[in-house]
Amino acid sequence: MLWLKLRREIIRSPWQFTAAVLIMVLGIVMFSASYMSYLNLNESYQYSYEVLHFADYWISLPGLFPRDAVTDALEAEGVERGEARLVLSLPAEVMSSTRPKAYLLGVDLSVIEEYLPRREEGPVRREPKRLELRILSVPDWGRPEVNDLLVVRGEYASSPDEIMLEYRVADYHELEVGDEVTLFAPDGRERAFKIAAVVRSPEFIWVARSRQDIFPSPDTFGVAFVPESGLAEFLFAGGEMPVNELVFTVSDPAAGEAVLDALPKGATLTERAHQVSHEVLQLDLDGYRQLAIFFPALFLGVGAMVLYVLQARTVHAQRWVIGTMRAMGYSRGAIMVHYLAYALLAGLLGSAIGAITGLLVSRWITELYVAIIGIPLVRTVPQYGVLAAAMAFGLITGALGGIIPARAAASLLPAEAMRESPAAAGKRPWLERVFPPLARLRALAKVGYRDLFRNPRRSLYSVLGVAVATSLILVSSVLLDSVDWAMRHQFEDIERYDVMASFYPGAPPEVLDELADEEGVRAVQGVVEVPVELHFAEEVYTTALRGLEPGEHLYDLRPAGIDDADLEATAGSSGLRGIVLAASLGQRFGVSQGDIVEVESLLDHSVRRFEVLGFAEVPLGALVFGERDAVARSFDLPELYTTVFLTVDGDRERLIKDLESRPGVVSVLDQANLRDTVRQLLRMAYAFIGVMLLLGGLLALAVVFTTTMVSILERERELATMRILGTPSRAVAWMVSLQGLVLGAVGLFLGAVLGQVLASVALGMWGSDLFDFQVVTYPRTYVVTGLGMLGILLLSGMPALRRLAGLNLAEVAKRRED
Amino acid sequence: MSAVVRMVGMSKTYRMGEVEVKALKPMDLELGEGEVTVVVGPSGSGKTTLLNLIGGLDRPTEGTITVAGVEINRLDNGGLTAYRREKVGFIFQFFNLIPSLTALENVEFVAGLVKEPLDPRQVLEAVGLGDRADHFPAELSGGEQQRVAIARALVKDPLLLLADEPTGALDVDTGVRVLALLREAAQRGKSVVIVTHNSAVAKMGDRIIRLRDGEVISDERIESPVDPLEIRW
Repeated sequence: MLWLKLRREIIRSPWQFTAAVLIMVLGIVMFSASYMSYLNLNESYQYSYEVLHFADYWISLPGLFPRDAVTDALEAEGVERGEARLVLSLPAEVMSSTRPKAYLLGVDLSVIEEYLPRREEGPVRREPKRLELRILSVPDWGRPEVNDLLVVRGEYASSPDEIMLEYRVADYHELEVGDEVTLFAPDGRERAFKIAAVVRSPEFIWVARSRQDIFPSPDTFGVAFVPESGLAEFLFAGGEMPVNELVFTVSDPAAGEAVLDALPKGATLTERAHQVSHEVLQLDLDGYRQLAIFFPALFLGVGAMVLYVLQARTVHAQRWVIGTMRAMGYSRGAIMVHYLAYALLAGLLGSAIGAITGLLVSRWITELYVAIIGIPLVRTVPQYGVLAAAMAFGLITGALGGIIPARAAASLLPAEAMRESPAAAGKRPWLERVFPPLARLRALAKVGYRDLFRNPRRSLYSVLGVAVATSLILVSSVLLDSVDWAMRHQFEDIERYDVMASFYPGAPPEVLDELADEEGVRAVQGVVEVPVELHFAEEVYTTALRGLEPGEHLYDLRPAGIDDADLEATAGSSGLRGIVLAASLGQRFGVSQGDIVEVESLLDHSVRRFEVLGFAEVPLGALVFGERDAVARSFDLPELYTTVFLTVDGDRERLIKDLESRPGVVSVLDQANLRDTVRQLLRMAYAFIGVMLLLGGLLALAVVFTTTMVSILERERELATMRILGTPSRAVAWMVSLQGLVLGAVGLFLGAVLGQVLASVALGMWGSDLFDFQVVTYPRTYVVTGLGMLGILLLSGMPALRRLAGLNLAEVAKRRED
Repeated sequence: MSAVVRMVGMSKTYRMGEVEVKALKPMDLELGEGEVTVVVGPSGSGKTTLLNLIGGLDRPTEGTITVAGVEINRLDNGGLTAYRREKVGFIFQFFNLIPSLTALENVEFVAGLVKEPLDPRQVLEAVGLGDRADHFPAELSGGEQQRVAIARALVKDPLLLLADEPTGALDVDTGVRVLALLREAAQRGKSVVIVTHNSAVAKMGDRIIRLRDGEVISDERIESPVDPLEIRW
């Protein structure tokens, strides 16, 4: 019979039950979809690492060594598999497709190609394209013991004339098996290699040029693998190929240091946690996992709150019924189960729908993620645990929301329950004591604001509901704003050039003069870059020291807080007096202004000590900066520019071709093109905010609907009395709406603060030397969020207003006090 | 005594699902100025329906109801709201005070709705609650709350005072004091209608209308009504 009663109560107020279930569904979908995806992705990474024997350690040797001189070190106890190899960057040329490319910031956008400009149909036109290839040697016979490759197309290379391209650079330039790649040796010799295979590598799931450049475009940078014999023939006149890097897996973590100790001084060890590709992916995955728990927890917390509000109201309204049931002989347990059942049922239904939907959504997210990131091997895991957890969370949420009202119902004594409940207490709220003019307001206005304080718990729930929904919308918007700002700051304010050309070993000043005279070139800036290691108290960090000329601003540090005078101040009489560090380095290594940092040039391993004179707020690229000539003097460099920045008025493409054909040019980056694509992608990314807006909006809708409805139900007699006394229905509707809006406004404010805090926590979590993003919120974000929430508040209050308008005044006014 | 309310052929029929309920059968009635009319009858006899129709909370199915020359059955919702605001004072069994307003503010609430209200504080003093003006309903006894409700009804200086079981939630001593206030209101020219199932209350009326099954079974004028303070039940 009690089940029949429960069923009829649900049918009588279907929207309240639906609202509660909806919140549960949203929370459970978010949890199950994101957590299942997280598990799938994590599993896929681990599986790829396992199958392809991803290294535990990398040791970079201080120069080239004969293989036999270093491989003994790999005999150390605890080493499982080891490989000695040669890693170097060489200029290369490929016949690249001229079609528009769907690639940006390390992400293959072809999976969302429908949003991008259509590729031209028809035969592919090709042009020679210069780029930098990171070449890694692979054994002539058999596969690498460590960091094996997954062949996507073609056959594993078996001849010295063959090369294997990492799939991103191959796909970007639309290169296929059988096409040629020309490599250029430092002495100017060149050799064409035939593409034997397109491969994926566990080391380059995320392709980074270095820690300072984690978003290289495949337009100018790629990874390739060449058999040792091929490199020996090409670079070492057929002699034995020397090596400069050891990679190995271990069964005992101590083996890393043991191998290092057995190698020449100057070798540096990188553990897996600090391998760039792995670290970027791990940061991404960790953030994903945190969000997979955090947001659902918020939703479910709100779900429990809504169920509590609904059930507390039901129990209060059904005191007489409870009294009657107890008088008829129903036990306390039966009453408790009955009033708990509503919340449990909402939880169960919400979690069942949510878990199934989440399972489907997780497959889609996993597929999308795998396609975008390019995980070599995908392995999904059975999701029974997550499904069980989702169901458990739903039930726990239902129980948390329902237990207090159910216990209150069960503990009512029959006589007490059937007695008239005492009149609702009224008192002057604290606000009126603090701000006495409120007491002089008209009586209707007083009713309006005093009601907000009459049931503080209910008001608090309304505020919290709106706050959580607002923060949900805002946190994703703020993250996007922050990334948008950082990208614009980086690519428009700091990197103001249109084209960047890298030279090896460097361009003499005459080349700069020639380039400046080229038609269409507006300005030229040459910089000197020295690969360096920074030695901090316990850590070594590899980066580059960039020498900039004060007054030249194609690479402009002024928006990063470093002006020309600061840059000039780094120059001393005989070289650098001090250096400017990227702010992220200062944070990571706890360095302050005035500290002394040891800087080792990786060109000649000479070591200098410099004072830290300042910090540059650059979002990407943890570089070190100094005055250009002083950098050259400090490290005894010839007058050569390793990188040249240009701004262009005229035909950029022609200039890029011209640059690529110049001797010594390693790669040419079309920064203007990159800038346009960044703008386009960021515009598109705002569309994804719509998803969060939808989720936050639904949450707010459900919460505000429930609390407003309950608020109206609790005050029906009072509101009906006002109407009977002659208060126009519009005035009552306004009062109720204003109450909702005031609570909504407080919720909006709290949500805005919460959103900022969460965004800053999220950015802080990602913050490292790889990214250094500040929390930025554009005013338009506040406006859009505020207006969106206002619309939701008005919309969610409408059913309650409709109920108010349709009240049977005579019937309601005769009721006892609820 | 001139008629303030005139009902001609007035009836009310409800539909409750499939069933048609004749709450009031066609009736002709007039209520006079300064008169206390007590409507008595068992549950379901149509007492409250009659009160709701007079108070503009409901519309008759047939017939007309004219109050102070205005045929209120023709008014739209806004017109009925204005009618209730200007002409009718309501007193409920469970007082229906607004819990977040003090006694005085409850009276001021209504005073703020009409053009020429009486002074709320004076009205409150007139019902003997001058010293309780700043108390909230939860701080007042049932009798005090009902007196606030009467003050609230009187402050607009209405033509009609409609009381639905005004003593239903009160003890005898408190109840008779409330009835005395209603008698005083009638003496000041208000037309007072009291709906009750308590036949003892009927003794105070200038007129007693008895209803049964939606019909007026008797309409009795009392020459010498009992002083409310002498009533006991």
